[in-house]
Amino acid sequence: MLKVKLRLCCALARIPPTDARFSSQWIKVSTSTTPENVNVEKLFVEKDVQKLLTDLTEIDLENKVFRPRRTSIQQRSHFALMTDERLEKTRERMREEARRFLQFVPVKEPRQESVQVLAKDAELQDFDTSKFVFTDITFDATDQDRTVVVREPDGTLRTANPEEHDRMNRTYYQKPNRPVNPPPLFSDPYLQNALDKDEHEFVLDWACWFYEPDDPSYIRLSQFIFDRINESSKFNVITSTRHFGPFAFYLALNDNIPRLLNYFGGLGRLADCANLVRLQKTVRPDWRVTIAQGDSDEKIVKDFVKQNARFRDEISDLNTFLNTGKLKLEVEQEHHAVRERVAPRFGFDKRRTRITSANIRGADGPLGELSEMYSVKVVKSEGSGEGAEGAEKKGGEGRGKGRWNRRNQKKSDDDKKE
Amino acid sequence: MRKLVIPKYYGRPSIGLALFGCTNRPFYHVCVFPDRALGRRYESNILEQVGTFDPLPNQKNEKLVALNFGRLKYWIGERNAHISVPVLELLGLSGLFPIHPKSFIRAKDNRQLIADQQLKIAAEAAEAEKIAEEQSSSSQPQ
Amino acid sequence: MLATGGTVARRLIHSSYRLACEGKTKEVPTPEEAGYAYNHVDRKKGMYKPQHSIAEQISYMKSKSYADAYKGLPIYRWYKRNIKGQSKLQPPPRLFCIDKHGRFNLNHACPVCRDEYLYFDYRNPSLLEQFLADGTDQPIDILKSGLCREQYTLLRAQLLKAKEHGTITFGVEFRNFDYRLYYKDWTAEPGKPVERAGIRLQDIHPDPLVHFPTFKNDKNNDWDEWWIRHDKFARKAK
Repeated sequence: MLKVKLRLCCALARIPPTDARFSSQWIKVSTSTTPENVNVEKLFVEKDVQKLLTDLTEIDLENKVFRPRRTSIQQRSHFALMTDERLEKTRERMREEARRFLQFVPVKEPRQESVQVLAKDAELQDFDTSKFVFTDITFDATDQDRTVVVREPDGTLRTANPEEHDRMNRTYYQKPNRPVNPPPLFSDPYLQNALDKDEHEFVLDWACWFYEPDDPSYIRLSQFIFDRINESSKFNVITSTRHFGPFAFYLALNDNIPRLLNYFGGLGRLADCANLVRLQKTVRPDWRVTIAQGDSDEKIVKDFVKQNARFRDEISDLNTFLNTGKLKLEVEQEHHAVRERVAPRFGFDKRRTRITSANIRGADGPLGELSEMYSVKVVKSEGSGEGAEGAEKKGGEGRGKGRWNRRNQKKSDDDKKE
Repeated sequence: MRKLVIPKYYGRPSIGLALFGCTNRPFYHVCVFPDRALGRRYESNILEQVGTFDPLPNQKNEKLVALNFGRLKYWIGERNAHISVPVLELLGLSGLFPIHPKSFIRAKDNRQLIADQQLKIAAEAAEAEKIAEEQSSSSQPQ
Repeated sequence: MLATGGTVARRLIHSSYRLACEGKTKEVPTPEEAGYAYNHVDRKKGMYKPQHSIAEQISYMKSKSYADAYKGLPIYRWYKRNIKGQSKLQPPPRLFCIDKHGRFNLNHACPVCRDEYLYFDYRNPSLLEQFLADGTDQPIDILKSGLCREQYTLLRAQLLKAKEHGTITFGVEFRNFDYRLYYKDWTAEPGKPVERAGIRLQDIHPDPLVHFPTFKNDKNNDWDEWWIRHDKFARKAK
C-alpha cells in the first residue's frame, strides 16, 4: 500500500481515511486508470476543471435560478416598459446576479470521525453520570475554528467528533432554518417522498445550508441524491443549480457520464457533451486516449463513443442525434404522429399536442378556433416561454406542481431550440 | 442585563454562577460580579456574562457548558478576578485549569457510593438465593 | 391523531387556567348522549367533534361537497366572527372552540374547528397553504384568519413540522462560501454575498425618471372650484 501524506489544516488534522482500496470518499469505482493518491479537493479547484464546470452549468433564469420560491417576506411584482436593447441589458445584469447564485458547493473530503484525547484522568472516574461538553464562545472564532471538548464520565478529555462540534455550533450560533437536530427530511422515508416529488434541489440547498461541506453526513447525503438522480436520469432537476458542478465532477470522477451524455445528446447540446468529455479526460487522465487541441466538439464526442463501447445502450439518444441530427423530442413527436395516423382519435385532445412553431398560430394548435378569431403573436422569452398559450394546471399537490414549487418544464426545451 | 455598578469603586471582581431559569428548571450563567460581598442573583449587579452552564443533561446525556475563554483570560489574568469554586471546577474539567480537588473528592465519593450500592445488590441477591434454597430444602423432606 | 394534537396543545396552554376556573369536575355527557357535530348539524354547542384519519381528510378536500361548500376559495374567506363593528377593531381571538373533553363550547366555531374533517396536519399541505401569506412561508395574521388561539398554535406547529418533513418547500437561505476558508491554495476573493430575495428588478432596471414639463399650468383660474361654476350652470338651466 502506498504511504499517504499527512496534511495539517487549521485546528483539525486531515488524514485521508485508511480505506484499503480508495484514497478518497468521492471515488466509488476503481478502474485500471485510478491513480492511488488523487487529491480530489485539489482537482476540483484547478482552473480548467472550474472553467469546464461553469461552462456546463447553463443559466436558466426563469425556471431555475430566479424561479418563484416561498420567502419570508412578501414582494410585489414589478412591471417595466423598456426597449429591446434595455431588455437585453437587464437580462445581462440578471445573468450576472445568477452567476453568483450558481457558486459551486465546495467538494471536500469528510472530516475525520476520530477524536484526539487531550488528557486521561483515571482518578476522575464517575465524577458525574453524564458527559460535559465545553464550547468556546470567544468572539472572533469561526464555525470551523471553534474549540469543542468533551469530558467523559470516566475522566478522559477529548476533542469533539464532527457531529458534536457542528451541533454545538448550531446550538450557540443559531441561524434561521438551522435547527439543532437534523430535520427528518434528511432521512427515510421523508427523503424518499421528497425525491419522488422531484425536490432534489430543495433538499440539497437545505443540506448545504444546514451542514458544513466537509461533514461526513452531508457528503453521504449529497452522494446518495446524486446517485438517485443518475439512476433515474432526471437531470433536469439539478441543471442550472449550484449543485450541478459538484454533480458533474462526481460523475466524471467515477467514470459515470454516459447517462448525462445521453441527456445532453437528446437535447442536441453538443458543446455540453464535448465539455463533459473534456472534463472526464481532465479528471481522469488516460495517456492512451487524449484530446488534441483543435478537435471539434463532434469529433471529441464521436471518439469518446467509439472508445467506450461498453455503454452503448445507455447513450441511444446521443447516437440518434449524432447519426441523424434529430432531437429526442422530435423523435418522440414522430412516434406520436405515427401512432395518431395509425389510430386516429375522436375528440382530439388539444392539450396533448406538442406545440411547435408550425402549430402555434394555426387552428390545430393550442388555441384552436380562437386563432381564427384573433391574430396570434408569439413572444419569445428567456428560457421556457409559454408563447401564446398560458394555461397552467392550478392547485397542484403531489407532484410538487404548486405555484411556489416547480414551474412546468415540459415545453422549455422545445421553445429554447426555436 | 442592565449594568448599574461602576467597577472603579469596587474591590476585586468575582466570577461565579448566577442562577436563572424557572421552577424545576435551573440554568446558570457564568458571570463577572464587581464584588464578592454583594448579592449574587440579581441582574443589575452583573458586569459581564462569560458563559453558560446547563445542569440538566440533554437527550444525549450531555451537560452543555459554554465558556468565553478570551474574556475569561482577561478577567483572570489582567484584572485578577476571584473565581468561585463551581466555576473553578468547570474550568478544571474543561482543561483550562488543573482539575479542582473538589472534583476528585466528588469522584471518589461517587465511586464509593456505586461500590456500596453494588455490594448491597449482591448481598440482596445472595439473600434471595439463600431463602430460595431454604424454601426448596424445607419443601423437599415433605 | 386529532385528539393527541389538540390535547397536547391544550395541556400546554390552558391547563392551569382551566383548572382554576372549573373547580370540581362537573358531569360530562358521553359522545353517545351529546351527539357528534357533523357538518350538516347547525348548532354544535355541547356536541363532540368527530375524528377522521388524514386519508379521509385529503379525500374530503378533493370531493364535490368540499368544492360546493368552499367554492375553491380558502376556508377563512367564508367565515366572519360575530362581532359588533369593524374587523379591524375586533376583540382578541378566543382561546379555544373545543374544550378538553372534545365538545364544542360555542355554536359559531372557527373555520377549522367547525368542519368535522378539517384539522391541521403536516401530511396535508393544501390546508396549511391556505393559511400562508401569498408568496411566503409565514402564516397570516390570526385576526385575519378568524381562527381560535388553539388552532393558530396548531397551524404554526404543523407548518414547522411540514417544513421539516419536506411536505412544504420554501426558499432556503443562500449560503455564500468563501473558498479561501476551505481550500488552501485558493487566492481569489469571494464575490459580493447574495441573498435569496435580495435584489429586485427595480434595482437592476431603475424606473427612468422622466421629466414631464408643465405647460399651460392651470393657475389663477378656478377650474376645480366646481361650486362657483355650478351656480352659473344652475342659473342657466333655470
